[in-house]
Amino acid sequence: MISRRLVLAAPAILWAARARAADPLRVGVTLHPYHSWLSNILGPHGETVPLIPEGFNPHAYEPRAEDIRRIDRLDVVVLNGIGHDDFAERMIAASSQPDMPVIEANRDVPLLAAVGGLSSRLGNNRTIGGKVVNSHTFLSVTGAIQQIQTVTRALSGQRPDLADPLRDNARAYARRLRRMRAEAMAGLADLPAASFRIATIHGAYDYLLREFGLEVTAVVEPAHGIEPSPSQLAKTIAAIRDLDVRVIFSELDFPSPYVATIERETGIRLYPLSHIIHGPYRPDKFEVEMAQNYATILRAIREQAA
Amino acid sequence: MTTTSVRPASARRESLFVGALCLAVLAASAAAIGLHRRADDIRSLPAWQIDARSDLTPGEQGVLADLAIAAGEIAWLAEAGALPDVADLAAEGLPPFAPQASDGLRGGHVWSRSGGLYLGRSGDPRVAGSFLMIPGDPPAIWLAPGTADAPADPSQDALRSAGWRQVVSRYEASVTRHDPGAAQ
Ligand SMILES: [Fe+2]
Ligand SMILES: [Fe+2]
Repeated sequence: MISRRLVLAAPAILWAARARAADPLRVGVTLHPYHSWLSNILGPHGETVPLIPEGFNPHAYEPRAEDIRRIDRLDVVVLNGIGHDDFAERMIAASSQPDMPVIEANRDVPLLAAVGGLSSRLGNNRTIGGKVVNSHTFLSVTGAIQQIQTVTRALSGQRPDLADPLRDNARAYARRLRRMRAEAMAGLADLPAASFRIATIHGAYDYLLREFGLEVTAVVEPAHGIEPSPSQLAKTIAAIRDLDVRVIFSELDFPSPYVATIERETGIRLYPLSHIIHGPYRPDKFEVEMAQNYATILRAIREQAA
Repeated sequence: MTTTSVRPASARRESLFVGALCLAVLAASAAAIGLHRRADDIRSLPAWQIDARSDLTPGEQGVLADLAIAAGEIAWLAEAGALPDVADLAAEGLPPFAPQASDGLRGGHVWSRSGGLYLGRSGDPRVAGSFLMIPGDPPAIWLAPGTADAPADPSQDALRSAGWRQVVSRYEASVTRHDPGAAQ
């Protein structure tokens, strides 16, 4: 029962009334991967507008007046909507278009639970009551394509004149992403089945590692985007040793000094992955950085198998 | 709205303001989480359904995510004609029908179509059960332990009595987000 109910509710009617055929769509996005996807879905039929300026980390972003003003000229905003862009709702509410239609991109994604912070872990409570979802669906090809399908259907429903080109663009882009992943994973065939414990610094890679059938045993950050305190860090290092963690995936774009401490104290190899939230917005950013992420995971598996 | 443009009289005043704002945001989110916890709005599932988030193995979660996407692609392909065969889907490079290097880690399913059903027979029941996907809007995905055969009768009752359980993915069961659409 993967729900495929209407993604847009009441605001859709408003939108339909406002949108005129032949107008390019102006779509707001909150995070880099969504920018890449929408640029590829829309092609020449629309414009993708990031709500956060380059150089701001969405984990610590507070909306500014000039960013909120950017919403005024949009037709619709695509949301992660499950915890990685909670600021967007406040921005829309504060804008001159508080009834801006939104597309909940994650509506049809099978969500995973957030893995609890290591320092608070007592052994069996793997998730925080099983209720907090992991919001990083955008860091996997599978999560990306599901959201691309959902967004494309929602946009096509509102702009039937663009339905054919948007669907064709979305399918071609999804095919390219699948091929990129297949090529990246091809090297896995020669490797023995991976069975080792994995920790991540930031809880961002569960969806990606699921594509390899791998599970994250523990996350170092006590909460999303929060650094551990010195006492939490000491407990974390002890827990990593107890759990026999072999691989730690760290952050390429926002390294913290405490991560080096973990590496030094435990002797466990760190493999940095990209959260894809840093640098210029580019249509090919998602493909390029995901290919690097797949290569990094493959390297970790190969080195553990050796 | 918490955000208004405030002209700082001095840097000190601004940092006080920022500090207060941080505290307010923390307090508000703590309260929101507390409220959600108490509301405990997540219903338990009937025995013939299974929760995608909490009750599937990692391998099964990987296959499910691919299968959900394939269902969307099948719907697009079916707009042009009949339901595609497994070979057509594999030719599109569409997992789980197209072989992938990670298949072995996720149960090594063997896929086939019988009528309007797509069956993925588990090659390693310790890693993952068998899947059944019924295309539609929304598509239905079922899971059975072990190496199940294609059911003669794909009705919900028949599947339930044959030991299949419907996989349910619950978007509304999240503490960070209100979902008015899922309230009913
Ligand atoms: Fe994150
Ligand atoms: Fe709620």
